[in-house]
Amino acid sequence: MSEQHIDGEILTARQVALLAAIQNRLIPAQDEMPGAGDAGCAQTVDGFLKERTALRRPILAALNEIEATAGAYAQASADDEASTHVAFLALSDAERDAALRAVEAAHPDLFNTLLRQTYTAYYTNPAVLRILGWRPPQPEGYPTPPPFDEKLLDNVKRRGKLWRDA
Amino acid sequence: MAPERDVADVLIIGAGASGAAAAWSLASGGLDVVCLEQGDWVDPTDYPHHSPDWELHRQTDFAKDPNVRQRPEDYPLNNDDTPIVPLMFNAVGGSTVHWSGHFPRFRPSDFRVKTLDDVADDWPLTYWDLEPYYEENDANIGVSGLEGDPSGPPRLPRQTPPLGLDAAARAYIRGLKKLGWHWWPTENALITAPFGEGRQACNYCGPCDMGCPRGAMSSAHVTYWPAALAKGARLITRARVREITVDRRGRASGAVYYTPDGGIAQQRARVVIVACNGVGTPRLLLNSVSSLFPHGLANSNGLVGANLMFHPIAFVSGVFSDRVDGHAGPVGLLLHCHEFYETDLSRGFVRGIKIQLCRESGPVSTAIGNFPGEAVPWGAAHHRVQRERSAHSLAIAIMVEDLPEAHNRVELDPTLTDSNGIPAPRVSYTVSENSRRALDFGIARARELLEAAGATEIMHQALARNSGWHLMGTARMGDNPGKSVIDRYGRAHDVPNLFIIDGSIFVTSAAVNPTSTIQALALYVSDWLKHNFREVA
Repeated sequence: MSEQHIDGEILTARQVALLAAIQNRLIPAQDEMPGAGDAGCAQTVDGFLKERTALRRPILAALNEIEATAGAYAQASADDEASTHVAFLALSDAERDAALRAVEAAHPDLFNTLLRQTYTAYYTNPAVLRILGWRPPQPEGYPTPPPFDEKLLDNVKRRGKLWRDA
Repeated sequence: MAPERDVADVLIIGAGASGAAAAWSLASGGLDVVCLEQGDWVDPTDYPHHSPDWELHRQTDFAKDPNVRQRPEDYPLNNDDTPIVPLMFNAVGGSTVHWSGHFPRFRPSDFRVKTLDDVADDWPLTYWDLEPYYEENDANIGVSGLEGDPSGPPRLPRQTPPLGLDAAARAYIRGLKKLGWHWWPTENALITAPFGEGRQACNYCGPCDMGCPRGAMSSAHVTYWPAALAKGARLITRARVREITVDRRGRASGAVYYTPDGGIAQQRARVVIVACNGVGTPRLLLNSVSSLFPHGLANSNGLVGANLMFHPIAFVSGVFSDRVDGHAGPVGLLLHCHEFYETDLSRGFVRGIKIQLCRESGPVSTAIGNFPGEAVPWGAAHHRVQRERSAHSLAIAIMVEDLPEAHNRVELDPTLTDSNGIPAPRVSYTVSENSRRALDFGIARARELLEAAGATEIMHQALARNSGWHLMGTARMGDNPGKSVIDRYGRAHDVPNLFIIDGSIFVTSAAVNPTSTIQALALYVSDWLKHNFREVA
């Protein structure tokens, strides 16, 4: 593991590490943008799982499928499995992406749940939103645009009545 | 004579769009009104609009699907057998607490589909019967927009001006002008200038679908309820009705409900009005079983729960190279196009469609593909595509008229219950061939429009699952007691002092949002009841 992970509310430290590594492939670091795992989205998703029990089964199943697929890749490339507790972490970036694509194809519903929750965690992360320039909708709202110009409707008005008498 | 406090003149069940309007109207007429509502007032500080994680709340406590939201006041639904999920909010104000607030009226032809197009049934009343109540309702709650739309009958000046001319509007207008199609600024249950007490005009913050912390949306809890309470109506919240009770003559006598601590209470009344929406109303009637009504109240012909109509909706999303700031402004409100509203059989379907030109929302909505139904790709391309779509996308909703079919229905689930043990609804629904053809036609038109407007990428979602906002038809109105549940005045054919006023009484659905018509009907029924109360009670 590249860094120490601790147990979450629902996920074990091993699952947090696996999820963070997956998330760094789903939304990788690029320019000023952090990778989703590095931004703390695994811990955020762990929080979602605590609050929303219905998410636990698909997210845990997705993690299991990805890890199982990664295990097969690791074996195929004759890696030493004992060197890590998380097979996915033993893979190269290209192998990680291949494992993710395999699970996405085989279990689209599970994968999409994991993807959706990762996206939700990332784009509600205050640090990410700050970099992107997003702020909450209130209290400022957005600037009031110029008043509507009724002249724009002249052509529509010229066509006359469009409804049926009844 | 002062009313007996334990026997109300009128008991209304449900404090949403229709129940609120009726409570105001009846209390204004001097009747003693009690309303039972399973939800509570929404605390204005609960709205998520001030929080960085505001978009998360679309998936949690402000989700439109009660099965996802799972607040204590929500009841579960079995949606295994429907491609469209019923959406609602259980609170004072009902589903008007979190809605888009698009507020069109039905057209005259919408009440006459049998006569004009030989499908379904005519309504027992006309547009012109309802017109004064549409006007009264608009004046009561405050509607923004612009009179003079040639796609419908004339109306009085709107209470506040239409939404302003922003980048999103200009993009759409560019395409509409090229195509020469009808368009007009939407009519909105939203104020763009001061109107009413304690309400602030819209400040274009965007996510109306999670409620409005400013009171700009003309929702029932900020319009009718304060006025109804001032007129003496009594509103009992966190009161979940188990059943409507009947006396030995088969007349409604009140309702039994659960209190927040799980206790049971009863409210007696001379007249009972059901206003629980197109799913909740049939559920309550079917749960109100007695020796006189063994198949549920007002259900001697088996039509309670039948003929469920949604508005099947497709979304078509366009990405623009210039910013269109789809997040800035009411998400569902901007312009509408009724070019294809009236029947033209050469299109391959009967009745029509509405093209509703909407906006987008924040970065989560963009990333998960809320409108296009297609998430931003993961991996190396993610940041580039997210940047291209974010603040550069607009979404069009295609809404089609859904015709009534008896097999589309709300029943009681044999095992599923709410937290009080009351049987929950089970929804069975299929999208008809006519609706599917109308959706496909609309998708093709929306693609044309987005292309004409200059979109560089166009995606669509052929049928949005989370789109069952409009719940209609499950206790339909009609003159023939064998073919309908209530008469032309909202009174149950089987129970002379029982009225129904929500979307379940719709005979047909039109292709426009229903709440304006729901509230006009509630005022119309209430007016009749006020003038005939002695006879009815």
